[in-house]
Amino acid sequence: MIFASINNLVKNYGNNCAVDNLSFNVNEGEIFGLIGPNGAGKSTTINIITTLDEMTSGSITINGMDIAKNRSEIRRIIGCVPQEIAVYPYLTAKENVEFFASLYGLKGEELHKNAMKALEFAGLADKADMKPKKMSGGMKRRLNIACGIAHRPKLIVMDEPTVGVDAQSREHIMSSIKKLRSSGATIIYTSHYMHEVEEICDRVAIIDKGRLVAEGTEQELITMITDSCTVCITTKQFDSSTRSTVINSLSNLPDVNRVSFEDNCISVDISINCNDISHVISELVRLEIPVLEVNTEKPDMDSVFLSLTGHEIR
Amino acid sequence: MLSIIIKEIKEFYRSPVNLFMAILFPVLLIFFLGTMLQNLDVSDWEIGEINVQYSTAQANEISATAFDQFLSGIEMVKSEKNDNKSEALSLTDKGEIKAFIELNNGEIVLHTGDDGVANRALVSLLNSYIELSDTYTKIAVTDPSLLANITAEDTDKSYVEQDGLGLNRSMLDYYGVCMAVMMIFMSHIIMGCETFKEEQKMYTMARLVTSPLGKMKLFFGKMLGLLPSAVFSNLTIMVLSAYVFGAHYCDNFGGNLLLFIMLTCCSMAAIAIGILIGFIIKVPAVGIVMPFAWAMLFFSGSFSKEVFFEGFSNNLPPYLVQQAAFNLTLYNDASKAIIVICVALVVTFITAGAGAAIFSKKRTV
Repeated sequence: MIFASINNLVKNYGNNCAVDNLSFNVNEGEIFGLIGPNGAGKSTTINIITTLDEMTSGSITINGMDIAKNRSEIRRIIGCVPQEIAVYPYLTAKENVEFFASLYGLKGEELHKNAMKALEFAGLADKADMKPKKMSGGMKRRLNIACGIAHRPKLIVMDEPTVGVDAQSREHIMSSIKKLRSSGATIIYTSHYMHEVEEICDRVAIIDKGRLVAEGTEQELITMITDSCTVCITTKQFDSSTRSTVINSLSNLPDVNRVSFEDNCISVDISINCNDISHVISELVRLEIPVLEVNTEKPDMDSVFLSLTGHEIR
Repeated sequence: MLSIIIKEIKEFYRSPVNLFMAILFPVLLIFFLGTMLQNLDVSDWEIGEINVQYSTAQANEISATAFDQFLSGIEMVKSEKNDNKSEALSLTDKGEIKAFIELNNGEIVLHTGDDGVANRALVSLLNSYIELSDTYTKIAVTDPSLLANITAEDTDKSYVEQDGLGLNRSMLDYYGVCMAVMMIFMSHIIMGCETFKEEQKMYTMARLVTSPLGKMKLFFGKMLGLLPSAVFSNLTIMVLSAYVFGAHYCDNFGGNLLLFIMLTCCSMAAIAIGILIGFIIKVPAVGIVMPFAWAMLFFSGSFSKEVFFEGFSNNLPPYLVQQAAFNLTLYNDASKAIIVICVALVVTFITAGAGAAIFSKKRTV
């Protein structure tokens, strides 16, 4: 079921077009990755979805409500986790979370409970009385998330929530985001870390220069840029006749697209959809070719991203 | 909206910089300016001896005798009779005598010289003489027999006995009022300027604006949230300067309450003006507002009462507020304070309305 629908979104700043006819859908209960190089229009898109900014044209529907007509209602069901740490340094962690939750109408015991749950969720329950200025970078990041989810939003928009945190905090944040999905929240997630996107996003949209370049699951996006992955098999040095025999034999195997020899390494390009390379290894054994090491070079989101958005520095 | 107000108060009082700038700094200024500059600020004017000439040629004998006695009875006035009017006026013109007084039937004509202080003193003396004469005349008209009962003892009586004013006034009293006004025109305006800019600096503005609260509630929540801090700083200045350093404000509770209300209304107007300025200027407000406020306060005599430029100083807002406060504290005259309160409320409504309109129209934050 579609939870958020962005249709032909356009945002102009004077003569500069930041978002150019962008359309994508976010399904209910999924983590939707929105990635793109610097200046691609991610933040502008997120600002418009969160009602921080207004669109030039197009339409956005969230939970069946038109953003142009139901801003206030939509704001109630959205939680924002901005890229910057947006908390008050002189309020304690609990006071920060309670304050932001109170803006959504939470009061009294409900407010207190939700705030404590959000802090527990962020791993900060024991730091409830600590002020952010005394917290580490990772703790501040987690508090930033807690402030955005305490009112239990249906749609959580996270703009690079793991920038500048250590591995432990990142792992905690990643598992927390997955827990949010399990609890039924829909999440729009942006990041420059492709391995994060691979790890948590159900579907991804890649945008560049304000336009949608590609959209789909990780596998679908990989398929868009290549139909094969490379298996590197390390063996001994052979003469040219043995090499030709090996190349001819392997080339005739199913799912094998191309075979080449580089020094003592046999490079086999196999179909991206092939999940089993045992027939390749068996053929080598049959040819009495020793197999010393096998490495598979599978295209990842980094390859997809660079392939679709180019290598040019922005 | 209440949560915003509470948040603003917590934030304000947990910031050491705010506490120093809003409370400790002005209280210290009261102490230092009030004690160290006390001797530099001359508060009394030495009138000295006023030499005058007078003529009673046009008056009847009784009046002339009474006037002779009146002038000779004033220690600071050295009087000499001269019925040659043109000569006396010439001496006045040359500055050899301070003034020439003519007593005619039913009126006193004072020909003054260039010495403004002496002139004001003579006007006061002659007015009191006229008032005294009128009193005797009224008694004579209503019941002349009462005049017969006046004894020599009565005529020797000093009808004005100087006593203390109830309060032992000092320059601390002056700077107490001035520093409270300084806080309004500097600190509270800057508080207003910075309040939304601070949210932007802390990146919390996006969270506030994307909440369902709405921009209007957010604007007035922030504005009202600053008011308790401003009011508390006014109150702290008044209380600390009075009870720690011995400054005096009004000699009655009602007067002090009115002074406090006046300062509160001015603070509210200052905050609203500050917010409006903050929306208009993009650069940090402190850099522009601070020098402007210092200059305005300086020319209003906030740092020294000797600084005064007729026609300029007395039209500056801090001067007008100080004047209203002094009228209230020294003379229990509330008229100017009430005018200041009314003006401050009107300014608050206008600037807050304009600020709220600008904020709600802002497409991005």
